[in-house]
Amino acid sequence: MHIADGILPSLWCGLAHGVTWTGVWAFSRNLEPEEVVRMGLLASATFAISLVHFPLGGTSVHLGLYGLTGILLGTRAFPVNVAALLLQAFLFQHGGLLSLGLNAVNLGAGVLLASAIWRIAPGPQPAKAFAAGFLGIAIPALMVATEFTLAGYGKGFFFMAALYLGAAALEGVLTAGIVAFLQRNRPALLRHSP
Amino acid sequence: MRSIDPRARLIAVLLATIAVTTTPAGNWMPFAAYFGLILLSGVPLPFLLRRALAAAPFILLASGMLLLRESWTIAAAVAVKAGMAVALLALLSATTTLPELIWALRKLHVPESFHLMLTLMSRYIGLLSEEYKRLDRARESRTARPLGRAAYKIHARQLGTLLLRSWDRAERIHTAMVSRGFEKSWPVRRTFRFAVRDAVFLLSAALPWVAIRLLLTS
Repeated sequence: MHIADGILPSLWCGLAHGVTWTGVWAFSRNLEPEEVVRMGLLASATFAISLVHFPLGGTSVHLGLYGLTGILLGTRAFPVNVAALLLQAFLFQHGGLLSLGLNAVNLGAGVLLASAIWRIAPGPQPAKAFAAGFLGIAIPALMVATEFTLAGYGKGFFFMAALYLGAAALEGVLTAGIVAFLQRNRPALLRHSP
Repeated sequence: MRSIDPRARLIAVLLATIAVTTTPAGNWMPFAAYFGLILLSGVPLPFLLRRALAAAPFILLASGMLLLRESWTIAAAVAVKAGMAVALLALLSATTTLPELIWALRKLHVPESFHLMLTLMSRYIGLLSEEYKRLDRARESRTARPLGRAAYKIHARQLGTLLLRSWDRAERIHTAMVSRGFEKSWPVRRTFRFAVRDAVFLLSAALPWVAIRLLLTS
């Protein structure tokens, strides 16, 4: 779900770029080099995972792990996402230079919400992990659909977003599984950053 | 091209993309002129088409939905604009290495931590992809293909393992970096200085696009 250049209004793209780089600056202040290295490696790992298409339930899916990034890195997940989008645009031409901001805002909203749910919401851990993984996909999909509707493309993209709910549920299940695995093997990882 | 300051390349492509995407629909002349400029770049057309095709599903979807509501011209213009933007991006990516791009971003003052993160990603994405394939092979050589609920569990554990390994690797990498004198920033081997020829390049590469946008569309 990466928006390409030339599809949504340029003004929106410009504004979103402003929001994005302000976010990058704000969320990567006061970082210890040690933490940056950890962010870089986790970003590389999730990027590598997102390149894998693996068969599940008869179809082939690929993951974004946005919710998990939010769980592990908190607000630091925002710059991590921008870095990943930048590389995707440059290396594979997924997305675009102008729409980078919009894509970062859409995904960033999902990631930040996932991180907030994990840190603030009450409830059992597996449920929170599922919700984080689910919303990490569902929120960006809904935002993309809303943006296209506002830009005059009709409501067709809400149908696409509905298709993404299946992928979002799958991602939620896997996120819960990964969190359970980390909880057993390295609980410190889940209690780390702000 | 390789010796041109990457900042000049990045900004030239950015300006050209802005020119293309802000061109109003209705008059095909400017688009024909943009296409001529892309041909002039000398990058083989099949290569650019292949890259543009990769983005085609999304572009055609958007353009198709527009077709239901707007005129044929507007829908086609959106598809052409988006296709050209992808081609321009492919042009940048074909003439610029990843280290050069990261260097350019640093010089354009992205936060130092963001720059370090990009540098690490450029190094470790490939390595961790290989590591994931190793985990795949190890699992396949020891287990039957998992089905149903077991599949979710096993895949989740495998993904968790990769995350744990990268976490641990980060500690080692940081220790190694510090032991080699790393403090806050990263030394760069190849540098560029923005010289007159870079300015000339930027002007000659970006000006035609801007000129077409301003003159041919009025």
